This record gives sequence, C-alpha cells and structure tokens, in this order.
Amino acid sequence: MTRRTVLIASALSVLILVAANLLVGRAASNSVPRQRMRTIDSAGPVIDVLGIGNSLMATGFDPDTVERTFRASGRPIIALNAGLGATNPLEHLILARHALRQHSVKQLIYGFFDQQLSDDVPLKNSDLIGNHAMLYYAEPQLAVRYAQFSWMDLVAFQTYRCCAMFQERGNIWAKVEKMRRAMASVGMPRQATNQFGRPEDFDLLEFVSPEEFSKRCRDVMRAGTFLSPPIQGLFQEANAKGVKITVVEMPMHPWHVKTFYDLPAWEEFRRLNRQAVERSGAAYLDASHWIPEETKFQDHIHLGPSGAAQFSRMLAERLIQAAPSGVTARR
Amino acid sequence: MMLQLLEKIKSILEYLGGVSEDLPLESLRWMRGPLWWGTWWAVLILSIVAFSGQSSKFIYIDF
Amino acid sequence: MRPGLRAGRRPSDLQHLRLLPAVPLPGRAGISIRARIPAALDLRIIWRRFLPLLFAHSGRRRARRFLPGNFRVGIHLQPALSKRFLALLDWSCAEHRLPGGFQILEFFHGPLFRGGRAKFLPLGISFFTFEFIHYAVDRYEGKTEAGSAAEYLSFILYFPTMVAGPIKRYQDFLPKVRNPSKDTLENWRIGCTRILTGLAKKFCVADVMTAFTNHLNKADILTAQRWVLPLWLLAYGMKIYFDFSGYSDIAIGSARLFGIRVPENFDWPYFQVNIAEFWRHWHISLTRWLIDYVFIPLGGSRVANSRIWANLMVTMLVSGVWHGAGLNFVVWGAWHGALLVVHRIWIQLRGPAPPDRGFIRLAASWAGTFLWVNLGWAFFSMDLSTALLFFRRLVGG
Repeated sequence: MTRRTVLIASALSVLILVAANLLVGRAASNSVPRQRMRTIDSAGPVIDVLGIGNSLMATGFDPDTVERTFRASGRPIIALNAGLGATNPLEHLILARHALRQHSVKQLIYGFFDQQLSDDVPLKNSDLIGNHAMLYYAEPQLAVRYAQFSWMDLVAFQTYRCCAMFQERGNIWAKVEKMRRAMASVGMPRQATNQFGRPEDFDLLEFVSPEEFSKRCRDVMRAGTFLSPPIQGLFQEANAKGVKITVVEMPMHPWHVKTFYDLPAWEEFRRLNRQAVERSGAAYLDASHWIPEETKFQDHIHLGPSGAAQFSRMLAERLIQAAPSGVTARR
Repeated sequence: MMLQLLEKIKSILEYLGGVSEDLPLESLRWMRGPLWWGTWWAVLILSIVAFSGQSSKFIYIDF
Repeated sequence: MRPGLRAGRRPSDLQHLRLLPAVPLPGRAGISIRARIPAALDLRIIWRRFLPLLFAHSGRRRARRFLPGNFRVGIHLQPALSKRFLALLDWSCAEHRLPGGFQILEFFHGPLFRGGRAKFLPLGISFFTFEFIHYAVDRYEGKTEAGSAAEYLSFILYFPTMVAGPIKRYQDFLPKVRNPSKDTLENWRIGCTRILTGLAKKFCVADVMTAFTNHLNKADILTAQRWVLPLWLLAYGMKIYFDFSGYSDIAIGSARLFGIRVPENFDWPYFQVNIAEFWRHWHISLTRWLIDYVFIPLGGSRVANSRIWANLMVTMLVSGVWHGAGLNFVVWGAWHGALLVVHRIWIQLRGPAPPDRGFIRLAASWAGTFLWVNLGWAFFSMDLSTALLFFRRLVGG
C-alpha cells in the first residue's frame, strides 16, 4: 500500500464514522430524556402540579388521575409527570430547572424511596449511559459541579460531549442487549418484563439484607448528610421561584415495607429525614404504606397502572386537603 | 463445485480479515483499493462500538 | 538423565525476588484478586548456570558447558506457602518440564486456601512458561542459538503474545526481531485490519454467544426445553473459537504493526474432516508445542501401537490440565485423547482417506468431527457434575 492509498482509506473511514455519528445524533433526537424535555416544553405556561423523580414517579404518578380528582373537587389544574426512569437526583435537578425556567410551576412533587434523598452521585463517565446520557447535553456544567468526576472521567466526559455516537452509546448497546435477551429467552420459560426491563432485575436496586439497609441508615444518620447536594440544589431552585415542594415517600411493595420499613433504624432515619426535608422548606408525605396490595405493583418497587391510579388519587386528595384554597387557583 | 465455492469464500474471508495478503480472485481487484479498505475499516469499527456494551450495566432498558 | 540437568538444580532459598505489578486474572484463577497489590514473581535464576548463557554471544567458553535455560519460575503466594513447598514446586517445574506447578497449585488451592486468601498469578503465565521450556530444551539440544540478552528478553516479554499466545519459537522469532519487515504501510494495513477483525470477532460474535452460554449451569439446564441444549453447546463452540481466534488476531495484528510476523494460531478448525486435522488447525502453536515437547519425547509415533495410543492420551491429558485445573479439563483432555486414538486405529485399519472421496463422504467426516469436538466442549465449559447433568438431560430427557 502506498502512502496515498493509506491516507485515502483513513480519510474515508473517518468520513464514514462522521456520517454515522450524524445519523446517530439524528436518531437520538427522540431519546427518552429528550422526549421528556419536549413534554415539559409543550406544557402550558402554568403547571400546577409537576411530578419529578425516577422510575417510581414515572410509573407511579398519573397526572390524568390527579387532574380528574382536582376537577371533581371543583379545582381544575394542569398536572405533568416529568419523572424519568434510570435517573438520579442530578438528572431530576436538571429536569426541574428545565421546567422552572419555562413555566410557572406551583407545586413540585418529588418522589423517592429508601435513602435516595441522601445518596450521593459520584459518577464515572462509564456510568453515563441510557438516560444518564442527558448529562452530556442538558446543562453539562451541573454534571461537572455535582458528579465528582475524577480528572480522567472529566476529560472523557468533555470528549464524549463532542460526539453523538459516544453520548448515545447506551442506546445502541440497549438494542444489542435486547437482542441478547431475546436469544437468551429461546427455549427457556418466559420471563416477566415490564416497560423498564425484567422485574427481577429491579431486586438489584434493593438492599441485599435488612442488616445492610440498617447500616446505610446508620451511616447517613452518623454523617448527617440527609440531603445530597443535587437535592439541596433542587430545593433551592424551587424555593427561589416560590414553588411549593412536597417530598413523597413513594408507595412500596408490601414485601419491601415488611423487610425494610419495619426496622428501627429506618424509623429513626425517616424521622430525621423528614426533619431535614422540612428544614429545607419542603413538606414531607409518607405514602410508603398507601398501597398494601401486591397485585398493584409490577415489581418490588414500581407501581402498576391500577396502583398508580390509586396512589395519584390519594395524593391529589391530600394536596387538596393541604391547600383548601387550591394547590393554586387557576386563573 | 461446492468445495470450490467454499474455498473461494474462505479465501475472501481471509483476505478481509488480514490473514492473507493476496487477493483471492482477480475479479475482486476493487478490494485492493483504498475505497474498499476505508469502508471495511469503518464497518468493523462501527460493529465493535455497537457490540461493545456490557450487559451487566443494564437494569433499566427502556431508553 | 541428560548431563547438566541435575547439575542445574539447587535447593531453593528465595532469592532474586522480583516484584512485578499484578494484573487482574479473574478467568483462569477463578478467584477474585485484590487489584493493585504487587505480585511477587520469583525468578529463580541459577546465576552461575544461566548468566553465562545470556552472555554466550561474548564467546565465553565456560558458558557452553553449562546447561542452557535451567530457568525456574516460582510464585510467591502470599505468606501462606512455605519455602519448602516452593522448593518442591521449583524442582517439579525444572525437572519435569511441566508448567504444571501452577496447575498443581490451582488443583490444591481450594483445600489449601479455603477462606479466600487472594492468589496472584502473572497474566499469561501458562503461555510464557511454555516459551521458557521451549527455549530451555531447544538450547540444550542445540536447535537454536542463544541470542543476546535483549533478544531473549524481547522474546519472553513480547507484549502482543504474552497474555495468551501464540506460543512463539525462538528460532522463528530471532530472525524477525533482527530484521523486521520494513514495509511499514503494508504492515500497518494488515496489522490494523487484523486487530479490528479480532475485536469484531470478540465483541460481535463471541460476546453475543454468551446469551446462550450463560445458561450452561445446573439450574438452567434443568429448566430449559431439551431441544435448546445442543444449541447452547454449539454456541459455546462458536464462542470459544471466535473469542480465542479473535484474541489471536489481535496479537498477530499487534505484532505486525512492528513488522514482526508471529505464527498463525487458528486455520478454520471447524472445517476439518478428522480430529487429527482439527488439532493441526486449532490452537496451532499449542499443538506444535505439545508434539515437540511432550509427544515426541515420549516416543511419538516411532514406538509400538499401544505406546503411541498412550502417548496420544498423555499428550492430550497434559493439554487438558494446561487449560484448567479441574477434573472437567482432565476429562476433556481424555476425550480428545480418545478421539485421536480412535482416529489412529481407524486409519490403521482402513488406510488413509483417498483424496478423491465423494462429497457425501467428506461431509460425513466433517459432520462427525464437528459433532465430537462440540460434544467435548461440554466438559470444557462446565464442571464435571454439570456436564454429566447436561448429557443426561440431552440424552435421557
């Protein structure tokens, strides 16, 4: 091969990779985080009740039921669910800021479970796949501020920001993973799946044992860090805009409640957690035991459709009771 | 004839994979050129990128 | 016993400890390893024997009398092993020309170290141990020159092939190191293509096959529908081929970037029509090594039939143990040993296959070879009890 042919071949490879990158960028314009942000964009100037959180909120908060309940009490409102699965408080902060920047939000409902409010978000660049990839393009400066990147991860983060193929690698890999799962299911008993994936996988998001769970509670209580920096940032943003915040301990599967939420460490943790939330100017609502029927859950942590409807109705009723003059009175 | 066909396929695959440096068939001389190699390398790189994800990272798969 | 061999042996005390950074080796060791803690690679060099040989090119007459390459490698396994045990290990490595010291350790690791003490093994040790042995034996037999210290070290520490082969030969490597190919552009074209092909084989095929091969465990074997079991085994056969050949492509391509050609390691093994040809095309460098340093020293094919069969069996048992320290690997080695013996007997009874045999006969030979090789992978991929369960389920339902 001559130098000329090597240069031409290399240049052509690069060109094809650039073209592929553009195609990926184009295809990724419909990724789930972008869809969520467009949903927020397309809401009216006023959002009366905005739900923010991870997949628990994404599945558990039914804005239609909330609106219906308010309407039935004579107070029509606009409710919006900006919950996004597979996200952490940093992404919630970004979504909340996105909404607060463009709309007049009256009430923010932040759903969480376990010690999520306290969980810090040290991230590596390799963690930023799937919905976490929104950190590359939605207010990346917040990622730099809160994610505690090592210097290598910071360099990688800034590099990946320039290339759609790297940003959206998780989406590409997810398709291959789906293919792998389809192959793995051949000849095997059918595995349950829900909108997020395999329910049994979500057991991985729970603690291995009550002892580990209690230890985590005790560690947080010892350190006194009940609200992680992104959560504090979210509360500050909302307070600065005069938004009423209600932090909701989301309904959990009866097994989860029985295994973890009856522990003395959790009781004490919850008490202190509530105090920390209320000190930040937010209201705290314990809804963890609101749905005692197992059948209303699609896995150990996510509500199914009927469970979501029931929870949303009960939440709306509470909000109505808490603010007799209306969450807000719509003009 | 089947064996000859298999041999030809084998030679082509070896050439594509860099095992053999000799082009197996004269009719495929366009495979010597930079356009072919540039395209082939890009295809390999894209395939590698697409398949290099670790399945252990996927709990949620709704994105 | 050849002169000089015994002279080279010394009862050990731990000298010349060299600390090398440990490389995580989860696969072969099978145990979790604390990263970043240096492993001690104990190079037991018989200075009076070995150093002169390293400098043999300087023409020291004394050096030529001494045993070439009586080169022992020991491993320092945390504080747990006694010097006496290491001495025994050291002796067995030197005297019996087996890389099996480590395999022996792995075999007994469970009983010795139950309780999870970390064990450290240098990455690629099975491979470069074979290169040590090859060098030692060939130097002793005068089949290769000494080369300079730098040439020897570049042979042993040649990074593209250090981790998992191909197992090089010094006499092939030396001329290439002295005179690497100067056609840089062509080397880079071939090298990059080879590396990319290897990575593609690994990620796009081998890793995808894990969707099937992850099911090769007791629970899934019992739960699955029976018809899918052969598919899983076939997937394993594909996975191991694409994985290992992909790695070899990366190693060969990396070497080519420097203008050095290392031997091919795979040559369409699954297309071969008998088991002997399979082994001439699968992990070629290992097969050559086993032939030259195990089969032939045992007598090879120049002995009575029963001895040939025994030699084949022993050679494949060594291969099995080399691949892994578990009973299932022994069985796998015995499986292939038996296949080679049967093939040999068949050839002796029926004569070699005619070159113009029909397509049907060829296809039948190919199918038989493919089938028996893939059935053998059951022992390679699963522990013995799981493999037996697999066959029970496959055959008996």
